[in-house]
Amino acid sequence: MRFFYSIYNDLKQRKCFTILVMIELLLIMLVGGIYLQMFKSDEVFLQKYNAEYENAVCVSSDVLSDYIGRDGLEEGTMGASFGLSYGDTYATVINPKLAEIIEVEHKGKWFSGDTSSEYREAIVSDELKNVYKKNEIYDLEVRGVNSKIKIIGYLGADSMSIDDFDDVVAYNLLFAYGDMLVCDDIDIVAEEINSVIATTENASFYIDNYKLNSKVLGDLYDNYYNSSYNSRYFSYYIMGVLVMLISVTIVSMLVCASEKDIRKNSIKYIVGNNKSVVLSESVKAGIVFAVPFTLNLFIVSIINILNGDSMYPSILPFGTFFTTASIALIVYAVSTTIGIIRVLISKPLIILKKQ
Amino acid sequence: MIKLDSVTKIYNKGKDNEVIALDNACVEIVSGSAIAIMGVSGSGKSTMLNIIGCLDVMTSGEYYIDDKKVSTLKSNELAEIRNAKIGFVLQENALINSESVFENVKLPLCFSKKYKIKEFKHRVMEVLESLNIEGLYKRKVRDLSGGQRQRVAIARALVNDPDIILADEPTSALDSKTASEIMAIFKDLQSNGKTIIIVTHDKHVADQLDRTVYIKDGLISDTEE
Repeated sequence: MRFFYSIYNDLKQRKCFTILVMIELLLIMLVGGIYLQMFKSDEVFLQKYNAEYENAVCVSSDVLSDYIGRDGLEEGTMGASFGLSYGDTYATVINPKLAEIIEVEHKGKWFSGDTSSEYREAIVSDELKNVYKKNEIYDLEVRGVNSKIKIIGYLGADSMSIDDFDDVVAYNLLFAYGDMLVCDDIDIVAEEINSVIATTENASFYIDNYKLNSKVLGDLYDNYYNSSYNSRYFSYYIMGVLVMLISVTIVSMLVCASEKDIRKNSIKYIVGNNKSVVLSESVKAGIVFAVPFTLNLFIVSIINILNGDSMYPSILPFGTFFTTASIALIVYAVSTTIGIIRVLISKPLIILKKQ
Repeated sequence: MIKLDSVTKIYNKGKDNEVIALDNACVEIVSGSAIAIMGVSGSGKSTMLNIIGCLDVMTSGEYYIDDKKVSTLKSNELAEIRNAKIGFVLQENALINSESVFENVKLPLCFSKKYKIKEFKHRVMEVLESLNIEGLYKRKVRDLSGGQRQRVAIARALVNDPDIILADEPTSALDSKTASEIMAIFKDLQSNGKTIIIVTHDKHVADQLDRTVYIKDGLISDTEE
């Protein structure tokens, strides 16, 4: 207890400790702000290309899954259904093992989603055929928007994964309609429809609600996805490195046995503290380091959660927040070691004579 | 009682710059007495003080505090003795200038087993009051006069209520009036049962104490009552 009390006493007396924490908080706010700005910059980036919001049809792998599940389909379709929907236009493709591509009503006009004859045949359960009959029009409400659905055919699924299925439908719709709109996460969209871009120069695409010219999208794929996407996270990485290195530098300067610390440790030795002062120095450094590090981690995690990402930044080449933290830990370990060595080799009485 | 029995201290033993700081020193100091250790610079008086204070280890010989052989103790045990039984008043005070009087005096308590944490404040103020410097408790040491600093150093030495007070040239940097005040404090401490050992080159200081031990070239040359 006394050991930690003496550490607490030391830290309390360091005005710089308070300043350190305040600086760290400011840096965290700065990093957090940059994080948020980076996420927001997607919109800015897209707007730059004359993007505009408009109700549109989109390819989304999970839009109607919950709804379809609640609508009474067999279990197993949940999470595996595929929906084309947004705004006031819907086309739903249910699990390929169970259902089929349906016809799409788009602003009063019906479009067929499937133009490829080889996919006409499909394995569909009898129960589902009883629920959704061919050529019947069904009313569906999704996300508060009414739509009409008509089953027009079946899609074979045995040879396809759900991702292929998405692509097939997307491609087919595009080929069929030219102005069908595709929406998805920007990276997934770019990856999936890259081949489509080359063949449908006049098609329009929506990405995250923004309408973009296909040629621009081609540029986007090359420039934004490959470089901008990574550079965005690389910027996070740089900021993380800066924050941690600044923190550790401050910690090293303040905690790990400065001349003043050695002198104080000498006095402590004389009044009855043994060389455990070494341990207390490293514990102090750990505490002062852990506070900003933990705060950093906490704030970044919160920001990620608020943005819908997983709790931790995704792992990328050249490192993540954790890699920057590893670098910082190495610096900390080195500086602490140097500090400890300095204390170990110091002669208390000699130190005290150096006024 | 403090007893040094044939204590020798050699620095850099076996090397070209070997120095015999103490040579077969034998001293007995009765509890409650006040002695001065006198000698010129380099005579070995500070070395003797440091050995008595468990700050330094002897090359040979034996050292006893209250019949307990100190020379066989481990470093942690020596640290405990320094904390509980010995109070140091070092040359030039050896205070933490950037911290307050209160924090300086409190420091030994942080390592003490005698007082609980919640008793720290009371104990520190008690000691400061005994030296008439309670009003300075918030002041930074660097803002104090020489005499005030010396009192603070004495307060720090007393805060754990040690049996032995060791002082290394406690009045060397003070004017005569202040030096007299400091010496009065030491005499008062002695009257309260403390054992006082003062290293000094000042004959006037030594004359105020019970006994003087002279050291020359590491040897105890004379003892004067």
